[in-house]
Amino acid sequence: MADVSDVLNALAGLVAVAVYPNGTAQPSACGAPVKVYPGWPVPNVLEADLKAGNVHVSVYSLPTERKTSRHIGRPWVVTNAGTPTLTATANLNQVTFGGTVAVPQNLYLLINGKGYAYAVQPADTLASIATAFATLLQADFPAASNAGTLLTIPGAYSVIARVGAVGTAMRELKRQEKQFQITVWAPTPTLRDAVAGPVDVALAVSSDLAFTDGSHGILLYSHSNQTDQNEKAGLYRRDLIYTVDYATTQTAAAPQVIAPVLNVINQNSGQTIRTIQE
Amino acid sequence: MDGATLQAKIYKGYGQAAKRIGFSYQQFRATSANNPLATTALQSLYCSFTTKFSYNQPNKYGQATWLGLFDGTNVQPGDFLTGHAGTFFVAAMQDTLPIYCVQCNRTISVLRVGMDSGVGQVGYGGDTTSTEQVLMSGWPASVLQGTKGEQNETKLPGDVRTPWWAILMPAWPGIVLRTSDIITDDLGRHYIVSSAELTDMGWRLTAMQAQV
Repeated sequence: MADVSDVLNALAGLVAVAVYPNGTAQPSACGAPVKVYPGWPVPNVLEADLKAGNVHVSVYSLPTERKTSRHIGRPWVVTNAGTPTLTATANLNQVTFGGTVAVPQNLYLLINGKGYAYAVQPADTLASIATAFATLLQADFPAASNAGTLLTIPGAYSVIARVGAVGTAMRELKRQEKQFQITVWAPTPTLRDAVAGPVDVALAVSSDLAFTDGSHGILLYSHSNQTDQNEKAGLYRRDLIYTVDYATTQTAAAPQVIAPVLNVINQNSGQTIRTIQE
Repeated sequence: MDGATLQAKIYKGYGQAAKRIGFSYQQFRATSANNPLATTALQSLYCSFTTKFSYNQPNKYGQATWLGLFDGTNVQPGDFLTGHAGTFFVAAMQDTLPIYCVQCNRTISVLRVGMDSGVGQVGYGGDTTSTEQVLMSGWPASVLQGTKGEQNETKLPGDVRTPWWAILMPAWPGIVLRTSDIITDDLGRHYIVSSAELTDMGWRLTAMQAQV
């Protein structure tokens, strides 16, 4: 799910990249060590760092906010379809299991038009999956058996095998446009300019903010404040205020469909005429 | 007669007097910044604590300081004396003057909030128990009511002004307390240091109690 903490982390990440374009092992854009973090500075650390000529950049949300939700439903969007790691290959009346065991994953065998589903367990091996299916089929195919990963089903004339992984789906519950304050705490006006300049450019260069859950935010410049009120304590500060229009999202597991069922229903009576497993 | 000889005689006299009117106390000296009372006692000695040598005034509320009557020959400022009347620390041993002691009513630890020492993107900036580093722990100290406090930040309906406290404790070389340091005590209270005065008598702190 995306929320205000994801925005703070995303902004801190953007700022850190702007301040350290060549990585933290190389000197920063301003030449002095710079700490970038969400939250507020800790007084004793900030004071010690300012005395040592270092710079802090903190990111925090302001109370100013505007609701930008549009009430047109909350549809689910698949953000990750999921990739099965197991394979199940049907050949005549035999099924061979392969690949690597990982959970969550589902296996489905459609034999003679009837479906048999199995959810892979964490302790499973390929052979134990085959054994589980042999056991599952006992009621309808008493002669079903497996030799290791090879499942044999005597009496089966139609065998279809499918593997389904579990992906991720996401939906936006609401959107809001909130102000975020990126504050540069520097020991000299020169360092403040050297940090705040590149940071402002980096934040203004793109309006798209991508979050880990697959949702996107809109990043726009709002205003900035500069204050020298704390110069007696050796602190020069500039606040860059940006608005981010971001969504509060809900994520859910999205298992792949491997066992479709078709019902034929009489429209007049509502009676089910036939159920077809595909 | 010179000052040193006179001082030795005074302390010897204190010791003689304490032997007759005092109780047995154990003397501890900190060997690290942690748990000074967990060290091995240096000695047992007779001590008597009073407000006046005429012994006609009780120690009153809000009064942390006492006069110590004991043989101070092997005692230094900053030492702890524990025994019959509780724990005291020796604040000052001024030439030819009575020994100035402070009664300790709490055991406190001093913490300081840290941050990631790295550069670039670091962890969340703020004070959580995981970012607090212990500077001193398990020190007996005097924590007495100070001035009236100010409005609590949280402003809950049941909130009142947060109290301020006056804290006296010995100093440990190399550790300099500062504004915004955190003190916790054995009652589970949480104080934030406002002013930290370092003299030859140790630390005299004012602190605001932090609570929701």
